Amino acid sequence: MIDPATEQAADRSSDGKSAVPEMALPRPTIRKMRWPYPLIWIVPIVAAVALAIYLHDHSKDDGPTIRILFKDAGGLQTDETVVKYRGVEVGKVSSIRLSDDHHYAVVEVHLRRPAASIATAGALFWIVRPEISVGNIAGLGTLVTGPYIQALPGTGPADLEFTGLEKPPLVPDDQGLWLVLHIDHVQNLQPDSPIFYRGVRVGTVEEVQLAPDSTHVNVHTVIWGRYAPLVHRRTQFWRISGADVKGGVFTGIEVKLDSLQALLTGGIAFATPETDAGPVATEADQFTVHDQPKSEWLSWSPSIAINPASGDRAPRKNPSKEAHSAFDSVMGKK
Amino acid sequence: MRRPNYGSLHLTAAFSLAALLLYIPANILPILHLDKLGVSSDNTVWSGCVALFHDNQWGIAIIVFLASILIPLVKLLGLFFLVTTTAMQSRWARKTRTWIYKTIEIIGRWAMLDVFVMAILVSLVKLHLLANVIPGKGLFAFCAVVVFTLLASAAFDPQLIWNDEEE
Repeated sequence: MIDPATEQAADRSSDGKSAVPEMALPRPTIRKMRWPYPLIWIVPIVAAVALAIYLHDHSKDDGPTIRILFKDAGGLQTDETVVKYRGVEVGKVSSIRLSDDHHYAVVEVHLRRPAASIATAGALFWIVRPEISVGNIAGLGTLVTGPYIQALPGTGPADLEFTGLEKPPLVPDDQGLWLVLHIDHVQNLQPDSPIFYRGVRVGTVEEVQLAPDSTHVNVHTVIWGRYAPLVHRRTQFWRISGADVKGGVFTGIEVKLDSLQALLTGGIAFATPETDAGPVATEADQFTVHDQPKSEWLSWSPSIAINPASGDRAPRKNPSKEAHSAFDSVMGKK
Repeated sequence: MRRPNYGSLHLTAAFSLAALLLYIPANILPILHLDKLGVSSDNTVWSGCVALFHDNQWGIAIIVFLASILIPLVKLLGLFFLVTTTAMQSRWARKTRTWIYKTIEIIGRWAMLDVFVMAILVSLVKLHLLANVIPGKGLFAFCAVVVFTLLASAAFDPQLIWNDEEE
């Protein structure tokens, strides 16, 4: 069997032979050497395919660059500081400079493409630094790694300019009940002081501020979403100092410790009456914190259903199936 | 006088084209992923040069830049130029082209030194156990560029510059 190409080439060479006298003998050798070489062009073709794949991968990971204004960008480093959301790295700081009016540090962040949707109006950014205070140690890992920027996506349209927060936003993604409690004197109450119900921590003091008319102090607190139903309109709040020392001639000295943290940071406890408690409290309700509980408050024990914990809302019958459906709903969204 | 190797044109053109194509990812993509105490960084050849420069190691920075960015590119473009002009059987500036070929052969020895630098760096960092070094995607492209450049310049037959196929 003769290959048509070979045949054609043979024809050509015989034509050449007929035109030129006997001397053109080396030509068939050249032809024979030539045929495998075009195969080598597979190499650049493979290289081109590899290039296409590389560039596709690269562009897939390449998101927008956003700008965040911080009052203080101390500790942030170009190309090293990362932006995280739910513990996942979603971007990296690409440049840090001073704003034109010198009021802000302008931090440019290069987001990864899959995380581009974080940059939407209303998104919050703050810098996580090691924080050690009485009753609270946070961000210890950043002692070694340096600070990172924590992101919380917004819900609005895409945006590229943001103003960073000075400190973490108060209770992100938790449907807590915000209350303003009035108190005469803060004593040792401070942000992060606990709020107790029957000795269980159910909330946190977020901010302590003097009232606008300076007649009292407003203690901004959040009762965590799970425990919000515990607070009714007639709920009574009182201060706990952590330690309660009573002395008597016949009883000796009695020391009562509520909580070690409360000993250091103070705290607030509350109780809700069994009868005539009023409707469930809303954020508009005002409460006063008393210095001492009345003895009957301590015996109140109403039956109030609290919200299930967000972690185990589902019945625990078939956890694996539950996990799968959660996985599907997350992955399916894409 | 031996007969020039016509197949070498195909080889050189194909290898240098492949190397030129892969030169792009080799320089865009990180060749080294460094994990140091939880801080990770992706390093390209260019960012390495910039880092050295900022570190006032400008002598080394220039050498790395020449050896791994500029000279490989010049070498590949030169080879590709030679091979295309030869394939077109151009009679133009044959002396200059021969000179180009010789220059490429000489400066080409300085190309891609930083693969050795990388080998040293990796072993060094691994020893320290403080940082974790992972080769990036770009490193494979980078190595491919090295190999293809070697093959391309080895395959080129300078005699072809002077060859007239149909005499």
